[in-house]
Amino acid sequence: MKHSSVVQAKESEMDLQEFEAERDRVCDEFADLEVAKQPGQLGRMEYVLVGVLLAVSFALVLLIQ
Amino acid sequence: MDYTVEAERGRAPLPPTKRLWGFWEYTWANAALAIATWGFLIGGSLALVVDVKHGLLAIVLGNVLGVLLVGLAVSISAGKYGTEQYTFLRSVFGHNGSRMIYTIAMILLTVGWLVVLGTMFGRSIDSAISVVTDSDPDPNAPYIYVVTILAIALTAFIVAKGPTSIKVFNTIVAPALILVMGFMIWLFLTDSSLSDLLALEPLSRPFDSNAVNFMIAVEINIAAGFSWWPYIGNLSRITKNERTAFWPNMIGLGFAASLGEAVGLVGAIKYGNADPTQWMAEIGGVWLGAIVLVFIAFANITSMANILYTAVVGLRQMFGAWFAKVSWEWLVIGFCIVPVIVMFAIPGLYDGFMTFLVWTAAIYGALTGIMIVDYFFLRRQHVDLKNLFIEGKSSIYYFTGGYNIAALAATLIGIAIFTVTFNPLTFEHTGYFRYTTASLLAALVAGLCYWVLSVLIIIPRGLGGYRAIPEKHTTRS
Repeated sequence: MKHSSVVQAKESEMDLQEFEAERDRVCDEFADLEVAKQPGQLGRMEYVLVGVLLAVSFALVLLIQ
Repeated sequence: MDYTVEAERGRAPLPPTKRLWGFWEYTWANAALAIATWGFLIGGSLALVVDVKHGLLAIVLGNVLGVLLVGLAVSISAGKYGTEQYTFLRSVFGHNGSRMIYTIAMILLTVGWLVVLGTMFGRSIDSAISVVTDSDPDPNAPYIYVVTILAIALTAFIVAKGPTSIKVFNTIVAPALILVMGFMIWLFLTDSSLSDLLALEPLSRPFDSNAVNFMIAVEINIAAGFSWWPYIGNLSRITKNERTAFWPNMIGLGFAASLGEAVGLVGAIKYGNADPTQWMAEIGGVWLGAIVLVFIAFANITSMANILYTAVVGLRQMFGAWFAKVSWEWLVIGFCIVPVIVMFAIPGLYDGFMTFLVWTAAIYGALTGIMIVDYFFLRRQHVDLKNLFIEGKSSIYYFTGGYNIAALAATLIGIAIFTVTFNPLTFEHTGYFRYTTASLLAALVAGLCYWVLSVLIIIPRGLGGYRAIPEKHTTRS
């Protein structure tokens, strides 16, 4: 709790250079995560489901007309 | 300067730990945006084309197609990286190209909707007065312009106060609007059975061919789905991950918007008028009808506040250097002057709003196709975030003079294909329109052209950072 409030206070006092450095650090963190599958990332089956939904919807549009 | 606050305002990526919305929070936020008065307008427009049964099918299928494709184009990358939508768009169009797209795609639609919803506010008030005073409503009365300007001014006031006041409005109006819709459905069913409602004939049929009429209805709904393109990226980035950024769109946007459209469609056909402010005056008796109309009038303000807020946030982000010294309040006021001018310059915008909506699908269809190809096929879901925030030639997303020529050319080709295939003003269409639709074809052709131009011209010249990303991952793994 104490640690988070210290971090919070530090964040609030950032000047532009510190903000940009923090932004670069966050960007690097995202880049480091790229190599592995991330929590909540859509899986292959979900993409298949999206494809099926699109195909079925469009097929129905053609059939119903 | 607080990193989280600045990141929420779009100046930096939001790390997953700082994001607010889980699955259901995002679903409700989406629903609050979608379950608005524009659903009545779109549904009312469908009544001029198809009967109730085909209209309902067109609503569901068109929204599934439009919302899923827009979600693929915008929400998945936003959920993964937490980056502001138009900042992320730099990886596709370049820094200056992204500004150009923002100006055309965002401002065009927002200004148009502000005029349409503001006019609906004015006409709802006019209808409420006519119900109470037992006089004929005059949808073109001069004082409606004054009421519309007041609606825009009230919206500006709410947005100038910041997101908290918008959230309060959303929290009250969205659930209440669901109740109003439930009430309307109940009224529809008091003197008609469900089978009676489903058997209702359309107000008109623009073509003898029912197949073409049905495809026009589907096209309108795909356009409605695509019309979320400018807004949902900046909402999806507040969700915790890709999954929570993508699937709630189907419930929040797809289902909620479909409900409003269905009510608008049935009401318009049952009561014989495509303008929802007119038929609402007929239902529920004097005072109940008047109360519903006044409520609908103010529900427009919520919709207007949501889109105005998103547009002004984007404006600050895209043109920060120009507006650095302009306060938030004055930026909001300045933005709102544009729709007031447009209202007088294009007086038929409200009545021709369906035409306006479908025209916007020309550009959003093309943008959707291009973004899907860029993110999933060319970049394979890897974007170098740091370079999105670097201005000038040192960014790998600088392309040529800050513009990705391939993306701009593909956008123009997509718009041209749409225009050749289907004219929303006259409903003139080519023979293949009934098999392809215009907006899906525009998305497909724009995406394919973008892929070809990128592979043949952009990537071989080392532009856009397409080569850098796979190499980086090879060394890291």
